[in-house]
Formats: sequence, structure tokens, C-alpha cells
Amino acid sequence: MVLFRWLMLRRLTREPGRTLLTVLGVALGVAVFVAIRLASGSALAGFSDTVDAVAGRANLQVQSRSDGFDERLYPRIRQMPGVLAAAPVVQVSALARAGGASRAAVAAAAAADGADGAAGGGYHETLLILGLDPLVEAPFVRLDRDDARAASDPGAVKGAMQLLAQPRTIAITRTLANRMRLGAGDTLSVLASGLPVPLAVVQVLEAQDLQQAMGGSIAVVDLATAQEVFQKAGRLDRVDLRVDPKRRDSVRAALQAMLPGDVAVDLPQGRTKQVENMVRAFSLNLTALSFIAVFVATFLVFNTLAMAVVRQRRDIGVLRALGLTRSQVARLWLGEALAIGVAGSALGLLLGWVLAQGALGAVGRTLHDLYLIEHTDHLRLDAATLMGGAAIGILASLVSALLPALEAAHTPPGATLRQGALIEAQPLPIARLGFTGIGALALAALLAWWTTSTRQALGGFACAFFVLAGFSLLAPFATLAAERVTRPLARAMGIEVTLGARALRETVARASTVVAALMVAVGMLVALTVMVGSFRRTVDTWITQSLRGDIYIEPAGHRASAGATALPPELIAAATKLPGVAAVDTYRGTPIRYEDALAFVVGVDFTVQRDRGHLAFLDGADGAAVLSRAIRDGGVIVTESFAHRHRVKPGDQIELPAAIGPTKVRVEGVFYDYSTDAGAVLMDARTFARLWKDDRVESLALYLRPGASVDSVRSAFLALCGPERLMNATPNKALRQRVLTVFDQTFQITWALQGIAVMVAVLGVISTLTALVLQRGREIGVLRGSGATRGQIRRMVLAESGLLGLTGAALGCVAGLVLSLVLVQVINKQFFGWTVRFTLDPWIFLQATALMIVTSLLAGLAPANLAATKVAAQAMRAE
Amino acid sequence: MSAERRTSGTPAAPPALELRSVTREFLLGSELVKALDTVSLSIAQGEFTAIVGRSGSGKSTLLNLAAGIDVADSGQVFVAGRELSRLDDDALTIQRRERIGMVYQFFHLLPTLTVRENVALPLLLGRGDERKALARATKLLEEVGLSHRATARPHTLSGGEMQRAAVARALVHAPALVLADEPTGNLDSRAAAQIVELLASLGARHGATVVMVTHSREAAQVAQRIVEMSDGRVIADTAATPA
Amino acid sequence: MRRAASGWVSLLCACVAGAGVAAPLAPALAPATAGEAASPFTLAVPPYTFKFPRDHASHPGYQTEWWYYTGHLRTSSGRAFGYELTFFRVGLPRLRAASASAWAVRDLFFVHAALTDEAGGKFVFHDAVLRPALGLAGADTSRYRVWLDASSAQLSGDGVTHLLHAVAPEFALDLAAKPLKPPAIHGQGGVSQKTAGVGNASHYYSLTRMATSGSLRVGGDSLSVTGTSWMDHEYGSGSLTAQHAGWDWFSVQLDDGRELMLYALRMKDGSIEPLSAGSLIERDGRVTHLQRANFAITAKGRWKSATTGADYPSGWHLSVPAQALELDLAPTVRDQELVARAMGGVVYWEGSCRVRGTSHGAAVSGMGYTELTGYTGRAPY
Repeated sequence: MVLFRWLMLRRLTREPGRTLLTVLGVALGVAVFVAIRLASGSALAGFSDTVDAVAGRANLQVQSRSDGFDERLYPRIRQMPGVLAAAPVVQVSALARAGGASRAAVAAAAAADGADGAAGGGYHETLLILGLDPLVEAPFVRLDRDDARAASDPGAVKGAMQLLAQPRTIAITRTLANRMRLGAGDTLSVLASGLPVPLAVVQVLEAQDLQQAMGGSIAVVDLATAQEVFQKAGRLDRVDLRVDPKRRDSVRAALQAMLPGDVAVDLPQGRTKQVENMVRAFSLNLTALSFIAVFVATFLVFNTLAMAVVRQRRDIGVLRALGLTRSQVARLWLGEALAIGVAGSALGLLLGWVLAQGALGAVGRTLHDLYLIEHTDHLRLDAATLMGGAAIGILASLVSALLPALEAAHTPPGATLRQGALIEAQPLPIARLGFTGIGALALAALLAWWTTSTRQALGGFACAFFVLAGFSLLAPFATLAAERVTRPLARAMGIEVTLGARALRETVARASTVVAALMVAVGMLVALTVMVGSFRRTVDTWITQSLRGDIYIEPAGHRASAGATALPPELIAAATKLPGVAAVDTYRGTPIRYEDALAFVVGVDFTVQRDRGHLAFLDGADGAAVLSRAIRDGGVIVTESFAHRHRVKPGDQIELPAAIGPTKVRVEGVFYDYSTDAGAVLMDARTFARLWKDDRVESLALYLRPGASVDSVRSAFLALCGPERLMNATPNKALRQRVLTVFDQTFQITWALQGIAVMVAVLGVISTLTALVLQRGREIGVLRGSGATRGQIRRMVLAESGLLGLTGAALGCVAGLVLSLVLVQVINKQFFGWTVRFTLDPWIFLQATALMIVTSLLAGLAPANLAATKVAAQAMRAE
Repeated sequence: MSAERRTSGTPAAPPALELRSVTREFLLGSELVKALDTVSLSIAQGEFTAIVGRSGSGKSTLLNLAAGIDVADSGQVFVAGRELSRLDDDALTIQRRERIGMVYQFFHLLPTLTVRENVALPLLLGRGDERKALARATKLLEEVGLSHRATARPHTLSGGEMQRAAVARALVHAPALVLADEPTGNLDSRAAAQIVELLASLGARHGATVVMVTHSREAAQVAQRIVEMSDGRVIADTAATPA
Repeated sequence: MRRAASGWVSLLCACVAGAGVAAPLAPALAPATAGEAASPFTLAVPPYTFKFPRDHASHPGYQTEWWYYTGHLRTSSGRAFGYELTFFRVGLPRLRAASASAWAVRDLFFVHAALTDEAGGKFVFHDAVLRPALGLAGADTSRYRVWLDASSAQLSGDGVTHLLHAVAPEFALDLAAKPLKPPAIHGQGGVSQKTAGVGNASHYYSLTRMATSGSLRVGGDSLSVTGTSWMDHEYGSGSLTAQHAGWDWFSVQLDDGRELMLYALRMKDGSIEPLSAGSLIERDGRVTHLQRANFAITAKGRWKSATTGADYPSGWHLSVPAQALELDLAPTVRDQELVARAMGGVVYWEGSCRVRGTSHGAAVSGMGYTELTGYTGRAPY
């Protein structure tokens, strides 16, 4: 430890700038990983909390796989031997606002929302509303603070009685009451199918669990109230059970045997697990991306240490001669890496926590947009993630220190007894590295092939890794090639530029590490840009082609309430008769579990789709013919992602867990769809109504007659809805815009990740250039002595950094192109089952190159200054 | 490492350094050069020997072989009776750490450490106690007359001071054998004379055998024995006339 | 009077209907809160003529109604038990309009079931509440049947015998109780007036002696039992006042073939409600109405509940001077206290008692049940 303190730490602290750069590099890598994991972990934990809070002390849950089940099953569940308590639950998410539903209040709120929130009416709060029977709640202890007080607290009992006896009453959590400034006796309005329903707050719930779940946005109403307000009469979403713990498995089996197929008996944790599975691909993707920064940071640490070894070569030789063994040398250097790793990780955890606050919003929103998971704004630190982040930081440092440490250890004690130049241990085996690199790329190609043929999702990541590794190994070659290629240009720009470029050639080992780091950062940037660009264009084309309705209509709050939305049939009938309306398509959907994965079943009007829609089918199948067959035979069409995930093709029979029992239906066609990676099964509205005993309509699409004005039909329709009901009537164009906005939001976090990876790479440029400049002090002194101006020295160093940037960018563009193919054709396809048309916008290459050259030049400014002033002066004095 | 062994000058004791027909060749360009050509040499314990000769005469190679930094192509090298070719790198390193002190032409003090820390360093390579090591270094610095620069950083010292610090470092762990490679090569004549004096007197006081490679006749005069080399061979071996 | 524990629930309903209604909703609820005159419930007013077996069944027009069985059972080996099985129906304020939801509630049903193991000195109790949705609980209006989950009471096919089922976590009862006397109508003119005021009354009758047999499951044992039961059925829409503190109620089945029912409504000022009353049922079923002045109740000891802290009288002397009837009641088990969680934590003592005394100087003995409410210091019901 004394040795380490004397020999390593002292040096680290004497070079605070460089040490800080390295530590910061590690810290950023760790921070990104930690932030992403914390954010997605918190989003899931928030979800799991909500599940726990709404499950109370239930140890078994009967729940519908789709949108509710027949409530007449409840008495039978309740009477099942072994069931100690059974609580029926209707669970609905709905938009809410404080205050009544008076027109003036709504208008005022709408005005406050601004022009685009015309249909918002100030309904900003998403409430998770539990419809419960307060009479049977006691064993579940979710409404009251604790068991003992529950029964005898007159306030609680009175509240329960009021919920029970009075229609349109609601109990809200203390948190929500405080946030919305509501108390018992106040009114809160919720949107049910767009219609505001005022509910009287009769009780404020103090139960701790409820305050935490969903940020406290939980409310309780009587079961009857829930069924009345949300038009769910006759349906329950869940029955929570307390069963004899010793008999839980047998009770579960007995219940499952009694219940129809679309009703499942799960452990309360089961739902959390399902959701985890559902978002696994999403969170795995983000985690993989977050590793890019760590990957780049390893290059940085490697370079810093390798250069330090070169600089310290003489001292190492002296120490070896004085009696320091090889393993002691290696341990000292690994110790230095460990110190950097520990410091970097510590800082990284802190930074990660800060970044996570920002990431949480983005991740949560995306999880909500893509998977309908209520999002959380509460970040929670999870020990496993923090430890994982620290471990990654330390491990990455140690791994990147392996080579430098070995090299240091092999410093011969005799090599430095005489004054010598700072030599690299061995010349870089550029050719061998290059061939290894090509080998790695070949392996990547093989992996890509293997992944697509065996559908091993993880293979995609391995493939991407080998692409990056391969190009990294090609970096030395690329560096030399770049110097060679730019030589005429350099010559034209003056002797100092040539000198700078040549200096890079001399220190190719160091330079190429920086180039590799830049390559990784630029490569990922380019790849993601190409992938997202291709994807966006594909989606855009798809919307334009497939969504042909002129006005899309959904009640405000539909997104929150989903299945608990039902438009009055008379409204639909009236809409059909509006002047200018040619046809009305209806929509009703429900999530299902298919082969243990989430999928959606959707009922739309196939006749309208056939006559007016333009769904694009795989293999160019004739849409009209497919839909006609489906209408005639009650068949279905499935999305590409569904077909991919479940290996379904046209002509196959699939068994759907319908409300009327498991039902086999024929797949008539597979169509392109990018709305959900979970996959969807589309059927005619009539088929849906039959299979799911549900003919409600959630939303509409209006097809207009040629020449009809979108605006006037929209106004006419809204007039039809009356002044009370809040409807979103979105013209096709605006819908398309909204889809693309959500799309862009989804990728926000990706850009942030890449930005950080680029930052780490730039840190590498600064750190390496500074070291190289210090290393070449004597040469710089000679140059100055021979009459080179400060400006020339500066330009020399800038030439180096510029060339580094150029080389990194060039190699990165190539790597990025290859990676984008991997992303689009391998990872995307395997994870999401989407066909993305690969489109290339050459601009990105120019942009990336320009960006990297400019950033590198900027990064070179400080080292250039250092060279031109301090280093030159010192060197001249020394000579 | 015991005191007995160090001070024993009995005839039964093995020579401090012995070479038996040692040959060492280097490839210089395409030519094979014999740096040492079947050299045999025995240096008794406690002796102060100077090895002189022109550049390339093989004297530094001889020193490197003695330090276990270089390995003979043929022949045997013994340090205090131990045959070096039998030892692996770690054993050689530990032998250096425990029994050999080194002084270099370019001093080779570590720039990040203070003078005293540089002196104490050899004691700590084997996980010694920091406080004791520093105390011992202080004592050695006193002996070389550098107490006043103990906490200075090496780059603030003059050449002679640096070399005195290096001599202190070479003796701090009470080695049996001190190897000095051109210790005066980078010093002016006054400083050079001081260093050689210091090596001789301190070597004697600590009972260490000193082998000094030098091309300076002047410096060699202080030694008890002068071995002259040329083209890898010992061409003269004379006991110095006592001054 | 018996068993107005459910009165607490009624009171709660009243406050639901009155206070705490959000301002914007108040107009919609106005009809329900307009006071006594507009009460949607039928009031118990004389004259009233009972019709059996119809009147065993439910009377949903009245706000509260209960069917109350107590009895003393014995196995062939002489092991003695007391039991209680009660169903309450409580009409909620009629605030909910006709609803598409089966859960929209107009009445709540409660069940209380208790078992006293005299030899073991043990007392176990179970209570539950449900709304009459999806057939989970309910009471028929035409033919007597009241049920909640697996517990039920109903008239058997013979139109005479009462079939009782009680399923509690710690015990179960399966009994057939055959009335040996016609229903004893309490009060006057078919109305048992509880306190001053029109409708502060109930229609109240008892089947005071029912030969009972069946089985009892307790602690893993299934036992055949025989014995005697007492059934009360009461319905009305009135309530007590804030001046009432609680009541003491007694039923006694004497070995000489007579039965006695007495209740005293205690006022907060320590006096006894003047309308407190009782009935003496002769061997042939004739009922003598007893007014406040006709009887006296004296507590002889106290028992303090460790669970609730309530301080109850324990052991009584009942005196009906006109009949020269002097009776001493002693609880078979001192702790027969019930905490009805499903009723919002209503606490009362309802227990089997042994009866000894004299009638016209001759020794007489029997069994009884006593109900004590309003001893916790909080709201009496």
C-alpha cells in the first residue's frame, strides 16, 4: 500500500487534469448504465408498487386476460373451498380534474390548455380508479391504515357507507387530495368515454401503500359506481383472493379448472412478471445502448494507462532494477486502474442518479406509450443496479488495464539503465490486428446469419459487438491509411500540418485507440440515425398508406381508460348519416395473452377496411380479397410482428382465448403494422362482438365523400356529440403528425445515450493529445528552436486532432453503415418483428464527419495551446 | 542478510562476486558481438573494485550480469556463492532487492518522490514498514551529507547531490554488494571525486563489496583493485597502490 | 325490543343521507333528505295484524329487520352449548336510482353466529356483511328464507320447521327447530313501541320454545345435539334517540313451560325508558304484556371486558311481582362479548344464562339468553 501510495497515487494526484478526464470517462459510462437501469427499474417498480397496493393482502388473483369477465363467476369463486376472502374489483384508468363538470369550468380549463387542448378540458390527472365492495375489503387492508383500526374507525366506516349508499361518490388518497387541493365534500370530475362525470369526494384514504403507488393517483369508488360510470355493468376485472396459504396451489388449480380460458388465476406478483417480460426487449435494448458509453470509456482508460506506462517506462525499469518483481509491477498498475475504476464508479453512481431523474420521464413515457404501463415520477435507488454499475465501472477499468499492466510488468530492468527514448514496448502488429479485425467482422456476419435463422435475440447484440470490435482492430490500419491519403492535403497546408500528421503515424498505437473510441461513438450515432431514419420513413409511409380515414375520433381520456370506453351506439348511427360522411369504421380492442405474451385483439369494420382502407399485406397479397374472405368466414388478419413472434402464416389456425372460450380462427393474411411490437390480431367488428361478447365501440374513423370538407364534417360531428362530451376528432394529417411525435419521443433517450458516448470519446481525444504533446516535448522544443512559431506548433497539434477526428469519423461511418444493417435487419427484426425499409440519407455521413472533425479540433485546442506555450518553453530551457 | 554474513571476511566465505568463463554475445546489426568473452573473475567480500575500459569493452555487461538484469550465454555468475542462472526472474529481483545496491550514471531518482522517499524506496519494495524505512533513509542521508535536502524533490538537486542521494539509496537496505555503473559519468570532477570517496568510505563502513564500472582512470584510483577490460576480455587485474 | 344492534347501521345510513353530501350533488339527493315525512320506509304503526307464515319472510318496505335465533343445545353425553344465529337486513337510504349494476345496493345483510361451550368456558363468534348482489345474500319476501354466503335460515317444506345453517371459521351449525307454541306477538296492537314518537316502534314476535335437533361441528368434532331454541323476528323503521344509552334484554325459558321476555332501555341520565316492556308467555301460548311498572331488573355483579374495556353487569335478579315470579340469572360463561367488525365494530354482550328462582314460592329453573348493549362508552348502537 505504501508503494501504491508513493508510486501511483502520487502521480495520479500530480496530474489532476488527466486523471480527472479518465475518471470522468469511466464515470460517464457508469452513469449512463446506472441511469438507464434506474429509470427503467423505477418505472417497473412503480408498476409493481401499484400492483401491490391495489392487490392489498391478496395472495391470489383471478383476473381477466382481456377486458373483464362475467361477474356471475364471483359467487362461485367466493364459495370455492379454501377461499377465505374474495373481493370483486373493477379497475379503470381515467382522466380527472378537480371541480365540477360545469360548462364554464371546462371552458376555462380548456382555454388554459391552449388551442391544441381544445378537447382536453383540463383533465390532466390520470387516476387509477378501483371499484371495490367496501363490505368485503377488511381482510385485504388496502383502504385503511391497518387492520386493528380499520373496523372500528367511525370515519372510515362512514366513508365506506357513503361510497356504498350514495351514487357518484369517490374516495381519494391523501396524496392526491393534497395535490388536487380536494377534501371531503369537494367534487372531482372524471372522463368516462369522453363524458365528464362529477363525483363527490366522501373520504380521504390514508393507507400508506396507496400513497406511493402511481404517485398516489389512486381513487376508490363503490363497485356499483364503477360499473355505472364506466359502463361496465356485469363485468369484473379482477377478484382478489385470500386463500389458505397452505392450500394455495390446489385452490389455484381448482379455480383455474372452474373458470373459462380467458380468466386466469395468478399470484399478485404474476402481473409484474408479465410486464417485465413484456418490456424486456425494450429495456434490454436500452441497456445494450448504455453499454456503448462504457465500451468507449474502456478505450479511454486503456489509452491513459498505456501512455502512462510508456511515460513511466524508465521509472519502471529503475524500480525493476531496485528489486520490484514483475507481479508487483502488474499489481501496481492494476491497482491504478482499480483506483480509477472506483473513483469513476463512485462519481458515475452520483451522476447516474442525476441523469436517471431526467431519463425517468422519457423512459416512463415510452413505456406508457408502447406498453400502456402507468408511469411513475418517483425514482428509487436499487442496490443491485448501483452495485452492478460500480462493478461495471471497476471491471471495465481493470480489463482495459490488463494490457498496459502486462506491458509494464515486462519492462526489462536493464532496458533503461542508460538514457533512452520513450519507446513503445513493441511496434504495433498492425497487419495482425487488421486480420483479426476482419476475422471479427466475419464472425459478426456469421452471427447475423445465425441470429436471423435461429431467432436468438441476443445474437444481435453479439453481432453488433463483433462489428465494433472488428472495426476497432482495424483502427491502426485506418490511422496509417488516413495519414497516407491526406498527405498531399497536409503538404498543401504547410509543413506543420505534415509534421502533425506524421507524429500521429509515429504514435499509431495511441492514436488508433482514440480512433477506435471515436469510431465506436460515431458508428453508433450513424447506425442509430440510419436505423431511426429508415424506421421513421417506413412508419410514415405506412401511416400514409394504411390509415386512410379522414377523421379519427376518440373520447378524451380514451388512452388512459382504454377498454373502459364505450361510445353510445346512437352517436355512431348519427355519425354515419352526417352529410359528407361516406363510411364509419369502428374500433374495439382488448389486450390478450397469447402464448404467454401480450398481444392485442382488435375489432374493426372489415367492410369499411376493404372498401376504403389500404392495409398493406405481406407478400403483396390482395387486401380486398383477404378481407372479403375474413368477413365471410369470420377469419382474422394479424400484424407482421404477431406473425413473426408466433410464427404464424396465412392459412394457419390460431386459438384465441376469447370470452366465449378458446376459439380457433383462421389467419387470412399478415399485414404491415408498426403500432405495437406486441402484435395484434384484427377481426371484423361483428366477429369480435361474437367472440368477446362485447359490441361496444371505443373509437371511430370517418371516411368522407370526395369533396367533403374535413373541417365542416368535424364540426358537425362535434356538434352531434353535444357540448358535454369531450371528443378528440383528429384529421388524418394531424394524427400522422402525432404518431411521428410519439415515435420521436421514443427515441429521445437513445440520442441522449449517444451524445454521452460521443462525449466520452472526445475526452479520449483531449487526454491522448495532451499526453502525446507532453511526450514530444523535446521535439517541440527543437521545432521552436528551429524557428517554428507558436501558431505553427498550435496548428501542428490541431492537425493531429483533426486527423484523429477525420479518421475516427471515416471509420465510424463505415462501421455505422454495417451496424445500421445489423440494427435494422437483425436486432429490429428479431426483437420487434418489424420490416423496416432500409433508407440511407448520405447527409448523415457528412454530418457525422463534420461533427467529429469540429469536436476533435475543439478538443485539440487545449493540448495545442499547451504545446505552443508551456511545453515549448520548458523544452527550450532544457536543451 | 544477517549481520554475520555481511561482516564475515573469513577465507571460508565465498567471493562476493565470481564469474567463471562467462560469455555474452549481442547481435549488433547483422554482426555478432562478444560483449564478454570467457571472462573469469572473482571479487572478495568487502573489496572495492573498479572495472575500467573504453566504451564497449564489456564492463557494463559484466555489471548487468552481476545484477541479474542480463543473463550469460555461457559460463556461470555467482553472487555470494549463489549461481544466478538457476534463479528465475522473481528470485533475481528479490536478490537485487535484498542483497544488491545500484548506482547509475543518470541517478534515476523517481521524480514524484522526495529525496528521502527515494532513499527509503528499496526498503519498501519488500513491504517494509514506512516509518522505519524513512528513519533509516534519514540516517543514510546524514551519512552522505544531504540531510538538508531530505524533503526536496530530485529535480531541484544538483548532479552531485542527486548522485549522493543515489548512493544513499544503494546502501539503505545494507546490501552485500553495491554495483555502480559510471557513477561519475555525469558529474564534474569535484563532485565525481566526492562520490567515489563516498562509495569507498560508506562501502567500507557498511561492509559492502563495491564494484564500480568507470572509464575514468582518476575515479578508479580510489579502488583497492582495478580490473581493466577491452573487447570483452579482462586484460589487466591489479591491486591498487594504496594512496 | 330485541337486537337493535343493527340500529347503529341505520343511524349511520341516516347520516349518510343527511350530512357529508357534496354540495353539487345535494339537489339530486334532496328528496331523500327531506325528513321523516318523506322517508321511503314503512313505519310500524298500529293496528297491525300478523299473517303467518308470510310474516316470517322479509319485509323490505321497513328499514331494518332481523331474524334472531338463540338456544341451548346438549349432546347425548351431556355436553352443553349455547348458540346464536342472527340475520339482519338494513335498508340503505334510497339514494341510488335504478341501476344497470347488480351491485347497486338498497339493503345490506349481516350475519352473526356465536357458540358458547359451557363446559369448556369458551365462546366463539363470527360475523359478516354482504350486499344482496348476484344472490350472495338476501331474504325472500314470499316464503321465509334468509341467507348470507353459506349461512341461512328458512322454513322447511312442512311450513313449520325452521332449518338453520351457520358456517363460521371455527364452527358450523345444522339445526331443525320446530315451534312448540304459536308466535307470541309482543307489544300492543301488533306494535312494540320503543320510545315516544310515531313509528319509533317495530312489529315484533317470538317463537319462544322450539324443539331443536341437529348437528354441530366444532374443533374438528361433529356432534349430534338436541335442545330448545327461541326465535325473534322484528321489523320496523324507527330509531332510538340520542338520549338512549343502550338496553338490557332477557329471554327465559322456564321448566314449567312458561317463557319470559323483558327489556329495559337505559337512558343516558341513568333512568329507564318508560316504554320498556316485556311479555310473559303461558304454557298454552297466551301472552301477557308487561309494562315498565310490572317488572324489575337488578344487576348482581359486574364483568369487565379485557378486549373492549366495557364494564357489564353480570348476573341479574328479575322480578315480576304480579306473577310472584322471582328469578336469578347467571351467565354460563362470563365472557360472551361480541365485537361485530362487519358492523363497524359494534360491541355487545349476548350470552346464555342459567336460571333459578321461585314462582309463587315454588322453586323453578330454566335457561335464558341475555343481551346487553351500550356499555363501551361510545355510541350505543
